[in-house]
Amino acid sequence: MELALRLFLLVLLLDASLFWFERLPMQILCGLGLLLPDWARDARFWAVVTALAAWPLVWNWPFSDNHDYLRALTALAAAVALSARDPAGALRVSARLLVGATFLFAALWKLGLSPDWWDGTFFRVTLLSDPRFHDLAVLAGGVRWETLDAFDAALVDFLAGRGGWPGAFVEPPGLRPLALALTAFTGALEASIAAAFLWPRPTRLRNPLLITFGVTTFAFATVAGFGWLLMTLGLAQCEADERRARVGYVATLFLIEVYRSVPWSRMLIDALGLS
Amino acid sequence: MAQSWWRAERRALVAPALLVALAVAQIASWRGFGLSPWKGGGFGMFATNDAGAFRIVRVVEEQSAGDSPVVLPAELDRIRRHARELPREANLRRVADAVRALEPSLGTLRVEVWRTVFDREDLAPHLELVARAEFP
Repeated sequence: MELALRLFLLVLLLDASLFWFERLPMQILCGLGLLLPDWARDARFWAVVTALAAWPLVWNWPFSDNHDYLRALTALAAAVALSARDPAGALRVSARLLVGATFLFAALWKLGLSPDWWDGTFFRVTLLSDPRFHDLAVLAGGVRWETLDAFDAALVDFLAGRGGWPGAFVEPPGLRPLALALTAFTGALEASIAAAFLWPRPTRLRNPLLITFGVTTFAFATVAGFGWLLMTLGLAQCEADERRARVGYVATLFLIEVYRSVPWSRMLIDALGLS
Repeated sequence: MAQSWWRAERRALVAPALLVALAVAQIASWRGFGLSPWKGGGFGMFATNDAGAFRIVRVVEEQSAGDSPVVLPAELDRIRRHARELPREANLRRVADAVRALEPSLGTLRVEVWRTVFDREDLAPHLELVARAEFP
């Protein structure tokens, strides 16, 4: 429990809010929590962290990202757990359910509510339009940079109302299979994580599934703050005898930072002569 | 021995219950007010192309000779994005009021929020109306 809470403080310190008046108080408090371990074991400390994580959700409504909500709820779970009879047990249950519910709704949106998920349209458009996925489109979809530039220029013009859509745009042949594979993999993995973490009795599958999500998803979707938070929650919900899983979560947390800070996919593209 | 969550202390369920309540409210806001699936704490990110970047806010002045588009100045960007992400009537009215405050001579204003839908065959985009309101 102690390691998970300290790691969470580190995540809060590093993945700070955009605005200085939201960021600075949180960073000062988390720094103090790391320097003064007694504070980090006090429910009142975590109540203040919760308040500092929660008020920007109201201030920025509705602009906050989903992991901003999860961050505030994780702080709340820590505050509540530290006032429980069995703090470690309460935090384990809260963390497990937070992960399970997060993936339940993520899977519900993808598999039940979204109109453009099942047929792969979401990933086909994302691979072409979201710069974070361009390297993946080039490496695994055989997409050429000229195609990405042409799609981007046409989309910018369309959204600005400067013109229609060029009828000559030809979708690269490798894009649709890649999009369908990503659609199937992501949907199945997220639904499996939800089931494994919400299952009444903890299953051994849950840790490999969540670690697989961290290792694969954040290689390209560089939302490091969300990845760190999920790995911290994974660590917090580990049973006492799940040492290998704890090591796996911490290692994946650092791997997500490597993904973020090292342009590995661009280096691979250069090495393969695809640039 | 691993603990089942239904036997946990009730207080351990507080944060997860709040997450569920927020996510259900987000889905209701999407259905009721057109809230962007990517926003609001419902974990709809990376599920649909109906994201803020693919939404457009249009303001037009209704005239007898036809509609005249009104260009939104950069200073109204936050209000515009607010309407884009959550196009309920109160937010559309804020856009119209802000525009009128800058140009009091404007007549009836119509504020519209559109989302981009991509054709599943050739990915050609077209716009689909999310919300519209008129403010005399």
